[in-house]
Amino acid sequence: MKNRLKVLRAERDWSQAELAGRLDVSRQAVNAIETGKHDPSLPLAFRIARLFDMRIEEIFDDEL
Amino acid sequence: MTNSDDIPGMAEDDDNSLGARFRRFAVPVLSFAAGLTLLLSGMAWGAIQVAKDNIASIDVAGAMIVGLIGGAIVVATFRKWPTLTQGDPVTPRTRRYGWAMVALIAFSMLITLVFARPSGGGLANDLYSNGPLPTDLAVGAALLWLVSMPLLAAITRRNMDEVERDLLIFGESAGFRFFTTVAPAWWLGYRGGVLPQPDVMILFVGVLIASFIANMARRLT
Repeated sequence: MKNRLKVLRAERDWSQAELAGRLDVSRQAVNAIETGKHDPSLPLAFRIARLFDMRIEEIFDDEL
Repeated sequence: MTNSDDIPGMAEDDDNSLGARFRRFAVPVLSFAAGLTLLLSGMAWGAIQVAKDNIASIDVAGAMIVGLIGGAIVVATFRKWPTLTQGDPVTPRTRRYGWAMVALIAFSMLITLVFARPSGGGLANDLYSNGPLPTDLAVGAALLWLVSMPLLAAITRRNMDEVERDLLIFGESAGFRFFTTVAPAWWLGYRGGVLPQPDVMILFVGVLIASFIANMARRLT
């Protein structure tokens, strides 16, 4: 599943580690999600959406 | 909209080459493994000398030095990389996970020291044989294993994030496939008279190796 996580992170000038800390996941998890290797669970997707104050479908898109 | 490549320092953060991923993970893990190996080697070396009543020998001092160096490396590694990876944030969850991993590895290695007891056959024979153990020692170690392993596994699993859990499940699945493939074939070969009797501990080690390789392959590719 494609997503805009990397761009959203870049807009805030956050490192992967910083974003990982805010989400309480590993840096590896952020990397895996950004590169599309891992689709986050629904609870994690909600945490991501709340962190960026966006809706889930504004960040993740299965039709891109 | 900002492109992540425009931000200084972001390129290194986004380096997903095999070498970069290996470096991020392998450096802390190898450091930890080296320290733990030295620590436990020192412990085993010392325990053997004590069992042989060589308490005053130079070997005991050597064992203590090796053990202390190993312990220092383990502590330094864990303080620098609590999650045994580089760049991970340190949160209460990751600290709990890190400590659970340390406990799990240390406990597993401690159990193996049970078998490092000298006898007429020598250390190597004791370590890698199916020879008898004193009943109290064997039952005690088995009970400790039965109680501690599920507990440590539950704590570890509860405190890992979902990507790490996926890696664990993938590795465990590969270990299970290894067992269901090799064990019946070996058993049939034994019954057919072409293979020695199946050894449960060889299968156990095989499962661990298959799980580890699968986990690493998934992690690095």
